[in-house]
Amino acid sequence: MTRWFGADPADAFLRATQGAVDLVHNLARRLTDGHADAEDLVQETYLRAWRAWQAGTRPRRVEPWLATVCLNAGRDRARRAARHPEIPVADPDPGRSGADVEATALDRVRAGQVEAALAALPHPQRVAVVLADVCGLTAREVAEATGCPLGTALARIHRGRRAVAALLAEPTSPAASRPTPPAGPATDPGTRR
Amino acid sequence: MRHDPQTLAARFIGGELGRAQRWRFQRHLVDCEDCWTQVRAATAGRAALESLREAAPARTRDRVRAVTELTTTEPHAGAVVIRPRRAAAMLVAAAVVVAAAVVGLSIVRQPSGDPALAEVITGYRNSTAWAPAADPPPAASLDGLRWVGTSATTLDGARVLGHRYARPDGTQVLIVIGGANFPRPPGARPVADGDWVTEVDGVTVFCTLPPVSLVVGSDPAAVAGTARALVRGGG
Repeated sequence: MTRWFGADPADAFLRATQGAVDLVHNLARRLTDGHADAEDLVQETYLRAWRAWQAGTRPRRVEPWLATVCLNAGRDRARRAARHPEIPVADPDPGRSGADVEATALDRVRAGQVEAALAALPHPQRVAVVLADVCGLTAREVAEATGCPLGTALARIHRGRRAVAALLAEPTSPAASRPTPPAGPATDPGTRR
Repeated sequence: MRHDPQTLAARFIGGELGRAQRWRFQRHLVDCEDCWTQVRAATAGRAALESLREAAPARTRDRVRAVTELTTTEPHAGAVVIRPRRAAAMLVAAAVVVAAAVVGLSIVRQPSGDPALAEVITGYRNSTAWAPAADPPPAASLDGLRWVGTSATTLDGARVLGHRYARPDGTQVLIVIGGANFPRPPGARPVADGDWVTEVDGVTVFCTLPPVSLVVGSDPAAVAGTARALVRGGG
C-alpha cells in the first residue's frame, strides 16, 4: 500500500485496480442482461471507485472493495431500470467471429447450461458463488463484499455450488425449475459412519 | 470437530480449516460417505462455475482507463484544481448539477467563448442545428455506438461534417471531421500523441490527430472510447 503514496493518483489507482478488471467484468456480466450493460456497469464501478479514491479511500484489499462497489452500482442500476424500463435490443457478443464458430457454439451450449443453473439460484447464493467461483474471491472476501458473517458466506457458497451441480446433473433443462437441495446426506450429527 | 457434513465440507473447500483439522478431515473423508458426497457435489459445482470465467474485452479495459484519465484533476494555468479532500463534496455538487449516474468531473472550466467550439457544442446538443448531409460516416458503429446520421455546417469558412452515433440507452456522441483546424483551446488537457481534451459546460470535447477530428459528448468514457475506436479505424 505504501507504493500508492506520492505517486500520481490516476496512475496509482489504475495500477492498484486494473488487475481486477476481469473480476468486475465477470461480476457485472451476472448482474446485467447483456454485454453492453455489463460494460456500462464496469465503467460505473470504476468511476465510483475512482471518485472514492480521489476522496482518500485506500482499501486494504482492492478486489472485495471493487466487488462491493460493483454490487452497489448494480443494485442502483436495477432500481433505475425498474423505474424506467428500456426496450431490449439485440446485443451481439463482440468477442468472437469466424472460424471457431463450431467450437464456440459447443462452448456456449455448456456455458448456457451453467448460466441457466446459476440464474435459477436464490439471489444471495447466486451472488456468493459468482464472487467465489467466477470472480475468484475467497470466502472471507465474499463475506466482506456482501456484508455477511463468514459462516453465512461459506454456507451460501456451498449450497450454491451443490445446487448448480445438481441442476447440471438433471436430464432436463436446468433452468426449468427452481433448484431444490440435492437429495443429500443427512446432516444429523449422529450419522457418523 | 462436530460432525456436520455441510459445514465441514464448506470450510474444507473454502480453505477455512486449520492444518490439523484439514488433515483429520481428509482422513475422515475416506470413511464418511456423507461428507464425501458433500465435497464431491460442491467441487463439481465449483468446477462448472469456474468455467464461466472470462477475460474482460479490450474495450472494457479501454473504458476503465478512459474514465480515469478523463476525470483526473490536474493543475493547469487557469484551471480549477480539485484537491482530494474537496473532491467528495465537489463530486456531490457535480452529480446534483448533471443529475446523471455517470458523469465526469469538470477538469477544466472552459469559457465557451470560442465560436468554433461553441458551434460544435451546439451541433452536439441540437441534432437539427446543422443541415443534413449525405456524406458517409467513418464507420457504421464505433465502440458500441451506432451511426444515426450525418449533418454539416461551416466553421471558419470550411465545411465540416458531424457524424452522430448513439447507444440504445440514449448516450450520444458527435464526431466532427472537416477541413477546419481545431486549435487546442487554452486550458485543454494534453493527452497522448498530441490529442487534447477539454470540457465545456458539461460536454467533453476530445480532439484526435490525424485526421483532425473532434469527438463530442456528455459521457466522458463514451467520448474517449469512440475516439480510440475512430483512431483504430472501426468499432
